[in-house]
Amino acid sequence: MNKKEIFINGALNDNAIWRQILGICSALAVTNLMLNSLVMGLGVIFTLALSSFTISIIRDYTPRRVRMMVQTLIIASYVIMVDIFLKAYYPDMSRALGPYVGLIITNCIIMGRAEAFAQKNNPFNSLIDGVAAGAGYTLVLLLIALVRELMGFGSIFGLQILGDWWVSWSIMVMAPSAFFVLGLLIWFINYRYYKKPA
Amino acid sequence: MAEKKEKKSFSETRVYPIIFMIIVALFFGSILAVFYHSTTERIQEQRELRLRSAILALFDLPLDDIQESYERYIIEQETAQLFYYIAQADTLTLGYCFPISGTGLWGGISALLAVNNDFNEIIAFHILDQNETPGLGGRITEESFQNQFADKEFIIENRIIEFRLVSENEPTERREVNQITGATASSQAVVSMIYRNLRQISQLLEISYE
Repeated sequence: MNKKEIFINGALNDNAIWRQILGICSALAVTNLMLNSLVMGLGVIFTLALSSFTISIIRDYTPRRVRMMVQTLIIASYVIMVDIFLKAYYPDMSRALGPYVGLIITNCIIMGRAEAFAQKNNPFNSLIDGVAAGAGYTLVLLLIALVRELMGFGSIFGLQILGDWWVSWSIMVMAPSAFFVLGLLIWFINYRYYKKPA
Repeated sequence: MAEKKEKKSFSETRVYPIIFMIIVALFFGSILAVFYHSTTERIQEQRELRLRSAILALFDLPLDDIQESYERYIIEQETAQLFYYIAQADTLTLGYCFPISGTGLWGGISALLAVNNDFNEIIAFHILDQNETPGLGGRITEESFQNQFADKEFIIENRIIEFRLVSENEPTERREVNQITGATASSQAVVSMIYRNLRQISQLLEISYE
């Protein structure tokens, strides 16, 4: 597989959310605003890319029995860095995302990519794979947030798009709507692009 | 992945995973320690700046240079059980600001409450931290909600009152505030927090309304 294929596979064909149904938790939690989703996505891309890269570097020396401990440790370190960075330089964003930054640690996509890809491939390819999986995740988050913010607040990235005539759907701000929107998205993409073998 | 036989035997011993784990943990631990250490000051500064600008904003004091304004107008006061701020312009006392806290639906809420000299009216109210549902209970931080408490009397018939909640968009009387639709619990939490803290503060400062 060349680099481009790795990227397209990671971000689209094997998209973590709509294909592997991983990372759903945060996709449901932070998607009521586009900006939150974007920052969350960037945090995940950073963690995913660097943890895959690091795990791949030490893959030949890592004893098989403790590899998951090592992976968790590495992932947690990067997540804490993101958390501290946001607290120090973007305190408002850090407050808006609340506990969800710390919860990137438990995002299944990261562990999933570490096990499925970084463990078997060279560091550079793992980095690309990490960025790709993160980008795919961010894309889905932004899509869900687009629907939820537009219908829930009438705005996009905090910019008021719909006028006073629009009655905000408060359900779009609440958790249930994330399930509906995500469900519809997964259904649509799988129905439209992934044909079942006859 | 099968165990690699060609590796040197040390990597197959029982201590190897332990040593490996210790090295990795120490390595990442120290990176984090350095990273944490290099940013704590900044995080602390950010937190302090935010608190100070919030206190100044409560009294409508200038925010151009937060440090300078703070030093000029705000006096920190500490008694045995209570820590609060006094806002003063020259010799004129503008009011008092109390850090207050309470329990919301999902977690703690902390806020600043500014009251006037006579201790019978809220000057302004500002929520610092909360963990309510984003978009629902989280809306307690919106200006439109918080500003309702500004200039509201809390002493009626010589007693501290708890504000009553009425639905959003309905007109309010002096005892009432508009709640947030879909977030009754969080709205109630704020109102109760103000009530409980005011009572406590008045007891601690031995203020009597008889």
